[in-house]
Amino acid sequence: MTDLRKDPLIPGKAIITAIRQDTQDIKTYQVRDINGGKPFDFEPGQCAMLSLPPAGEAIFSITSSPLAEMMEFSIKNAGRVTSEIHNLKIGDQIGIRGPYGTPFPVTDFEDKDLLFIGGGIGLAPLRSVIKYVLKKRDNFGKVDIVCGCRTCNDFVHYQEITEVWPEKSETNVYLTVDKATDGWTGFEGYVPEYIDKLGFSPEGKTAIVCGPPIMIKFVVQQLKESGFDPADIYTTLELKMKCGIGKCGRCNIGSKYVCKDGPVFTAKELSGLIETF
Amino acid sequence: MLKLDKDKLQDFLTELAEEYQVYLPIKKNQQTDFYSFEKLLNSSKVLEIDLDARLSVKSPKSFLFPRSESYLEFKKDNERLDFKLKELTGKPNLLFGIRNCDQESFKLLDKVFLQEPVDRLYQRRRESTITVVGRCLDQSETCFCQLFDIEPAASETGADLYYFNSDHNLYFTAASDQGELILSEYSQYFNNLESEKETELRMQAEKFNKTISTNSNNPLTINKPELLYENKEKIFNSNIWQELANRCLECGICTYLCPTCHCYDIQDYASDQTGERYRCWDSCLFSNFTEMAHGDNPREETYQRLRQRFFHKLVYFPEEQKESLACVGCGRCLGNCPVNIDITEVLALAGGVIND
Repeated sequence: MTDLRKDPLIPGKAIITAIRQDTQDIKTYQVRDINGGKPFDFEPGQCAMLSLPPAGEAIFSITSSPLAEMMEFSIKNAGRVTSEIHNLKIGDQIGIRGPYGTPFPVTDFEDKDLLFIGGGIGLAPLRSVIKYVLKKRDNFGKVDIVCGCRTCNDFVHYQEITEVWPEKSETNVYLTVDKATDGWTGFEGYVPEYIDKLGFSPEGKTAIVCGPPIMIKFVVQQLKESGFDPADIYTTLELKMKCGIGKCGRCNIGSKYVCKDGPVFTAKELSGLIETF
Repeated sequence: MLKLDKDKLQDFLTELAEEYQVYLPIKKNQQTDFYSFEKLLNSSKVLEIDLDARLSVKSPKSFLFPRSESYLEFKKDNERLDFKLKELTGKPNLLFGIRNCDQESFKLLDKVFLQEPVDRLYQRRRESTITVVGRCLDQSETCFCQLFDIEPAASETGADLYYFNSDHNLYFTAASDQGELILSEYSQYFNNLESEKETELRMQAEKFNKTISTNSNNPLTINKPELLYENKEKIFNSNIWQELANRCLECGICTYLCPTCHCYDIQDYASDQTGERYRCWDSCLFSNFTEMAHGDNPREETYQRLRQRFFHKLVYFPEEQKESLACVGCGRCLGNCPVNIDITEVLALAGGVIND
């Protein structure tokens, strides 16, 4: 007799234990299992499927560190499920299943210099890696973090980015906004422009890039041109997903399923795909 | 080999139906599809068991992977949310009279659903389903299973029982322990046959398998399905997809009738605070298949979606699943596409691209 409880589509129960409004349309949710622990173990870059019946399910990057005893999700109000999520209150129960996807290979990153480049909500999956790396700071080389957003009001985890991360040893944070408003005195310009200006050397460096597809495209191209080996550039792909386990067919691209073979890919792997978005 | 007189078929099935939920090909309004034998017995209408139809209009994949399947009940009570699994109840399925192409399609579905992590909604049906294959001794004009190295008259394709439908009898062979068990448990319906007849049927099957695989005049089998796989870059970037897209109505009938299409959607249905979660067939030809919440759609154009469908069957699936092509040549898409787009035409156009 098949035990349906072990079916990968069956969600477990979780509870919202904290909510923070980050920007006008992004909130960060802390999620725990009903006993107060982490719903399940995961690695940086992996995703979870959140369930809010009757709105349905949607998949999100886990933005917290795998070393933390809870999970966090930074969620932008964009569609049917996310608008329902934005109505959640502390104490509300939701469904959760996962983890899904191939994570960032953090053990391969050890002893290397790391360059993180995040655009907008694309910082969400990077934050999980960054927090992991900063927690095990001595295992990694120099860390550079470049973050870009539309305006200074669109940064998620602004306080952490500006106050916590730069305090770590050999860790630099660089911020840019598309449009300087509200007294912004930092760099103004798109992420690729800023990367160009900062002129990172590819020597001994691994780049980890996540953001809107157009930003990823330009940044990856730029890094390749400046001498980064495509095998040392990691990024993530975004496609619609339903099952999370490579069966429902939605996130199929070439012979890969983004939900299980990704979302993390190297630029080398992506250049081997026949279809590019 | 054991024979069953067709006059005793109904009695045999009636007894089988006590243990199994028997589905078999029934002709209704000039169209043959699989229906529950039990329901047929209980209905007052005279329905016709149709073991002669080459193929049911709809694929029997729905018995393993239903068109719509509710698997979870949920209940909301203020902040509280509870889930309850929906277990299967009732007798195991017995599919009587499917064809070898459909039997082969189950193996392709197995590759998708039974690989880790195992899809238990599929597994619970698959493991309890008995299949009885009617071996083909002829083909219809839309059949091209030989293109995928399927032998339509074969008896080693993974079913539990096989039969030949010849003259006034069905001639059975068992191919699994469960098949053996059925033949022995219901032995009163079966008779031994003369060894000459058995030899004749076997030779007929062998000859038929051989004839169709070597016949080079069949227009459906001129272009080999490996064509796409071997020339993927060139064919991917060719304009044949736009040509096909100019005709495609995006009705999705090909994906719904295809025995190997397995894409699905998951949706919730609710009335007030309680409801169910179900999964249902979906189609990569629909524009919202890949449309994301923020509005981006990586396959916005019809030609991209058509290309995805055929590339998935003939390039991506084999790349992922050790060279298995995700088509069994049943020809349902040939027979039912309102604008005559089908896999053999794609192969013919792709052949043109290569020869250019």
